[in-house]
Amino acid sequence: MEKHVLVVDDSPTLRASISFCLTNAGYRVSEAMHGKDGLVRLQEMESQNKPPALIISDVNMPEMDGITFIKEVKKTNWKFIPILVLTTESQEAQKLRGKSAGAAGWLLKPFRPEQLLWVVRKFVR
Amino acid sequence: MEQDELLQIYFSEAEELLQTMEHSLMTLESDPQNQSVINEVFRAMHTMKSSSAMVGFTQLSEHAHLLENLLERIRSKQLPITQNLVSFLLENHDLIKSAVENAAQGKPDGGLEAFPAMAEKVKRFLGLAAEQEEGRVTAPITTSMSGGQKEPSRESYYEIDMRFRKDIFQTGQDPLMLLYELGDLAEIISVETDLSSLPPFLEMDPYQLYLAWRLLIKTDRPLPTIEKVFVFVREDELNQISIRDVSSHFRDGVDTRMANKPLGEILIDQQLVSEQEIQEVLTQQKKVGEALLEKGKISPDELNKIVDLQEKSRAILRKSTVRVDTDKLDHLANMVEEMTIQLARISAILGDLPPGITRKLGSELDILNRIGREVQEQVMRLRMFPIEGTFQRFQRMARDLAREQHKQIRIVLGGGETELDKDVIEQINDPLKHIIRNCIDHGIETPDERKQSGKSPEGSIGLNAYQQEGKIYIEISDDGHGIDAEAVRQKAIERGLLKENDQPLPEDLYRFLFIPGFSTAKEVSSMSGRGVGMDVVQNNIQQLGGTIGIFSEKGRGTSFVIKLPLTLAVIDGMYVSVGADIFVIPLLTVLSTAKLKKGSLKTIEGKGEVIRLGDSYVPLVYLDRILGIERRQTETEPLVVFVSSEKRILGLVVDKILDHQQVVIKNLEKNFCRISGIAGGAIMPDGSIALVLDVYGLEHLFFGRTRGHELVH
Repeated sequence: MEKHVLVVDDSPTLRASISFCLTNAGYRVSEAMHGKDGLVRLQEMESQNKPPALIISDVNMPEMDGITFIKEVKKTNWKFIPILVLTTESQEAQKLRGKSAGAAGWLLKPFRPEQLLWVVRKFVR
Repeated sequence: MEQDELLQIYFSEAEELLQTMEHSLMTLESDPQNQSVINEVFRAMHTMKSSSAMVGFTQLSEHAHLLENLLERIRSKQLPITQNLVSFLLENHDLIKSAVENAAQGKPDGGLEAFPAMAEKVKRFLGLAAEQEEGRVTAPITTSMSGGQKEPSRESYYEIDMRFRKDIFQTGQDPLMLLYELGDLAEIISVETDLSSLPPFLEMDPYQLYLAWRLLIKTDRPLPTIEKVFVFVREDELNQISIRDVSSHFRDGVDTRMANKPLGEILIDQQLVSEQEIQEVLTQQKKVGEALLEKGKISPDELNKIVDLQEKSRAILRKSTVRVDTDKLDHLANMVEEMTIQLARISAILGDLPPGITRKLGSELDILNRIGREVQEQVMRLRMFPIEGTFQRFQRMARDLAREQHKQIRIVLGGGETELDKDVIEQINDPLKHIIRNCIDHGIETPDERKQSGKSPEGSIGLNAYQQEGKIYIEISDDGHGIDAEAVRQKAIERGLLKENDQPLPEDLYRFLFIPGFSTAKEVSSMSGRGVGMDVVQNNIQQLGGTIGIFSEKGRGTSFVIKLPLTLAVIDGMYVSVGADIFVIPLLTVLSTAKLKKGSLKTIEGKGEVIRLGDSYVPLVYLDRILGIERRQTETEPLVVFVSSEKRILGLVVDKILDHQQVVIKNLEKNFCRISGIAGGAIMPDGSIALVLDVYGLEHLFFGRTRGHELVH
């Protein structure tokens, strides 16, 4: 499988940071601004039959939050794609909501590049 | 992408976020109940916090975090929105804005000096003590994600059991990835897959997981690092992950648990063969490894590798025992013995005291005596080892030898757990080896011969050990053609040991086999059959204070029964007195006792006196004469102790039989020199010394017609 990661976050800084770090490590990164945008990007990928190997999604986002986004993805054929939720330490509840929605794991913000890679490597090699 | 570029993205995002904040706060002033506007401010602040932290503006991020908390209160309606509050939030907005602008102009520290004072104000709004909040905010936000510090490396072994929920794939998890990750952190020594929940093929759902795993890994990483591999799957209680530190089972990288496991079990564990395959070959009673090899179930390399591991494991496990010089143990035994003797002396003295004192002290002394005996026993047991190892070595030897002679032989072991004195085990090795060789060379027939006599083509040799009546028995039996008693008789006649018409009992006849140079074997094999051997075997066993007997039935097989004392240092002895001296006769050799009656004596020309025992006459040995000691003529009738020796029975003439009990033989050679007929010394309860008789030495003395004191060199 291609080392392709979809990042869904409303913060350009976060998206850029993740992109920057993962691209340097040899991953291909697609970006989406929020949940709804994420679903659109996934549809595009489906039409090309090129699923991402991993989705990293923020929780707090305009238009469609991360939890709803995860639940939507789990309704599709691509429910087996692992999803990581981006959250902060102060938001333990978010982590758990993400988990119960079907997230495979989480990543706490802010993170250092090696921490991001450590988590990503748990799912994409 | 460069770091600068990332910063530019951040600055433009921050500008946008600040604009959103400002705009929303203004809206709130006129519409305080608008929840979606509150959410917007909150989200903007939240993003501000994360983004600032990502690019390293920690102070900014921390302040945003404080404000986020404040906004959370507002969002959850714990804090009412007032004009004042909105003004305060706008003030904060301005502060952040100026800090961001300063940073954008290359002055990252600009505008930060006002933060602490403002932070205090926010905290007051939050109603939190300053330090409390301080602690929380500055706490490392990402500790749970860090890889863990490296501790000084020490290799540990972990056994990991992984059992997952069946629908784990739906959570985006893949156990395989966990294995990969473990592979990065540790050396995976073994992976066992549990297939027991695997349904029949047609019922299988490819999206479900039916497997579970047990891994053995070796790593120098700390346990928390290994545990972090499972950080996400462990969160889910339907996944069962257990990690056990099994390092204590490993020494020098070798699994010591293997030492005591049957090879078959290890092979099953390693999934090289199935349990059924083991059962199949076990019924054939071959060595598991070899049988599997023959059947092609396993490759020689695989087998050798595992056997090597097992051997190593055993070697390591052996090493784990404390090694103590046997001299030290002997010394300990001596001290214990002397202690018991001293106790006995105290008991004796006690007898002379008034009964009132005696009774009380006596019962205390009894307890002390009992403890003393127990200590003595335990000390003796320190020298004991199971004979199993010795037996197992013969298994291989027998196999090779049988193959050489195109015979089929199976070795049946029994009683391997029987413990023997370390010295006995060492010294019994050669005699046993010889007997087993004899069984293979002369006992077991070729497969053709066996078939002709209606036996299974595969012969068997049994090695059995057991303890009975305080003695160790070792039996070596074969199901070969047995000993030809007539051939032995003829040979004995030929060598002038028997007269033409002598018809001794088979047991007596077989004794000739222990005579040097006496062999009925037609062929001479590499080791046995040359007439050297059985005499050496017997000598070795006698030196251990043991005896050997042969039982044989023509066509059915032969058994060699070796009787040994439990330990070399302690024997059961019979105390006898001869004149003023006290001797100890090893009880193992004693057959019976009788009064010396003139009527049962006979004098044979040139052979001295003999005494009747049952149907036969045995030589009478006067201990005083043969050992050259003075014996006063006593009124008491002398007694005869019949002892069985190397080749015959002797009648030892003594004055009195005193007692019998366990004695510790003390070597005299160290202080004196070897004396024929005397095995050593022992200390009597009254502190005097008794000499322990060596019956075999006596026999040599007697028939050598030499006097004991002349043999002292």
